[in-house]
Amino acid sequence: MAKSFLLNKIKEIQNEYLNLLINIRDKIDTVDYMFIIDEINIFWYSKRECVKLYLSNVTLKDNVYIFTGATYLDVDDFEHYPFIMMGNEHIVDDPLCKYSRVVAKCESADFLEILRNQIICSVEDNIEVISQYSSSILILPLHLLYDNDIEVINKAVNNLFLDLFSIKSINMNKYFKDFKSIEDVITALKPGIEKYIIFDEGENLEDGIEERFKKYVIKMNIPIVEEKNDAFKFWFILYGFLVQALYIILCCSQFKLAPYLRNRVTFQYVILLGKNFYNISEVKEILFRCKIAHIIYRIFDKEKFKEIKFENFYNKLEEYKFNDNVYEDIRAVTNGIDNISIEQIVEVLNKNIEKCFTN
Amino acid sequence: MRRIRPLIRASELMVLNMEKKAEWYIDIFWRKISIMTDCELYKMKFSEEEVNTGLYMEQLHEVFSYLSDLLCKVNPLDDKMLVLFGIATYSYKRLLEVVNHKLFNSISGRGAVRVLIENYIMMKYLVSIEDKHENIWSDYQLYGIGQYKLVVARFREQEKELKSSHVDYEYVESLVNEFVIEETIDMDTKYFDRQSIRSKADAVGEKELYGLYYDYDSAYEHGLWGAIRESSLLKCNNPSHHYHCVPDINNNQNLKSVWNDCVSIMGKILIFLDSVYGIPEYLLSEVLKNGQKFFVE
Repeated sequence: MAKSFLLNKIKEIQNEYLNLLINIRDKIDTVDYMFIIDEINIFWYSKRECVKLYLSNVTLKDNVYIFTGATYLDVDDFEHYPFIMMGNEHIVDDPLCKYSRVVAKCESADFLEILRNQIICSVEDNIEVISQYSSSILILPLHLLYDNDIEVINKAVNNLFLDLFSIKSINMNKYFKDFKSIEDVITALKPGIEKYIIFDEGENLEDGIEERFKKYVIKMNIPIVEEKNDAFKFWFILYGFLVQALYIILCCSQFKLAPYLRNRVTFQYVILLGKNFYNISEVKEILFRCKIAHIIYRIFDKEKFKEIKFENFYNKLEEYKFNDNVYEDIRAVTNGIDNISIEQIVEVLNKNIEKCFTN
Repeated sequence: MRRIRPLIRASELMVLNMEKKAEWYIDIFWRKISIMTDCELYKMKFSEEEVNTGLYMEQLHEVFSYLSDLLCKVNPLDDKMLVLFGIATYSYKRLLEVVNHKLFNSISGRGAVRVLIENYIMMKYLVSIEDKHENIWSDYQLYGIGQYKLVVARFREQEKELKSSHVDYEYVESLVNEFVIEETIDMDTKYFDRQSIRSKADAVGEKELYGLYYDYDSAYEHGLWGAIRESSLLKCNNPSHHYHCVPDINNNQNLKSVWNDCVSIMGKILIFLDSVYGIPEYLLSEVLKNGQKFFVE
């Protein structure tokens, strides 16, 4: 696609979006932020077909990564550096159009205030991404485009949740009726499954599941379930993780995008659920790319690169053909993507980072 | 000798001219001989096209589906896109007819090739002059509708009911009045932009395509004798029949397949559209690559 009309349109849309965000930033303290969310949703809604057409024509060969499963990219903290290391094109799943669903369902003033601050940060971050890095990063509303039936996803997620238990006849009604405390839940779990259930990024997996669950509930202080029992909270938390992971897998495989996930919890659930789709070679490839990018995020030492301008950083990666070299080395280490260990990936990545930025 | 030689030659011719021929006898001889013997017909039979077009047409559909989406979803009010994709889609539909009705070795197939060439040249020409010709995209549409207006005007003059005709005059009339009332539409009976297809082909560097194919296929569209002789007359090998030709009323003779030329010109159309709008590489390369295979086979 030498002179892509569609890509030019997408670039035009980025500029229009930038103008809208700048306009919004100026008003953000004076107007109700529902109005802001509404403006953004209307903007993306009017562009949805164009964006969908663009994403529908992405192929695995294009090697596109999407930043998703988080709020905003945070370019002030150099988070865009590790993001662009793998892949040829990079998209940020616009966090701003995700907020409307949350805002509509939440009445807690404290939570809404946190959300307001998130919106402000996201607006600022988006402005910076488009105005500074639009040649290498696009912002598009993946959430708005995904058209699978939410009912189907809900049902699938509840089934996945029920799969955690050893009782064969269990269903959601029975779960809510019979299980009240976290002890009830843990007793019914399949043996050994606890180690796959994680709640928090920094938690110690050596701790028991009950302890980790309780710490997480205290830490998060989720307003919607404050009055509910622990069994309900357990379902609520896991449901959130599972639905997010399933959504990311389905959405990314629909558009042939590799998810760039920073959060360990999100990453772990995506990889765990993704194994159910390994018979689809495209999904397997996408999730392998996801794994590589997550490991890069984990090992990337921002302090070392803060002195390098983003443009130079980007050019170095291009010149060195970082992505191609990493894959070449991975192929040299192992026959297939199934057999490579995380330690081997880390070694390959460190070696290539070193080679790429030595001179 | 130098003087003698021309004299001998001149005398020979003179003597021949003086010879008395029994023209009446010669006529009777050939007439009788010719009806006493049967025609010895032989036909040109080219191998029927049996190529598997399925995958190619599927991939082509994908490309046109993308282009259609580009117009409908990205730029629904763009006249240039409408005109170029409209022309390209007409070419696609002609090709589809060739495939669906197996017109590869037929007379109609040649009509399809001609249209594909003309459409390709016209697309290139329109884009090449768009900077010099203000409103070219709406003018091009109005020019075509103006031709339809002429048809409607003639129909009105005739004051006839042509219910069983393939031309639905009421529908044609509604198309003429679709966006503007017909009184405001010019009827231009000349070529669009007053340039023949030949000049347009010259202007866009497609002289060879025009010279090698278009004129040949035009003979078919206009029913010129060359096309009639090639397609509809059989040769008689009986010397007593003076090697005359005989109408091929049983459709025994076919023509060489148009498929490869259709694929080749469609490829040019796609490459041209890619240069203007960009077609995703995975769609374009697949259809072109698959098209190339027909030439290898």
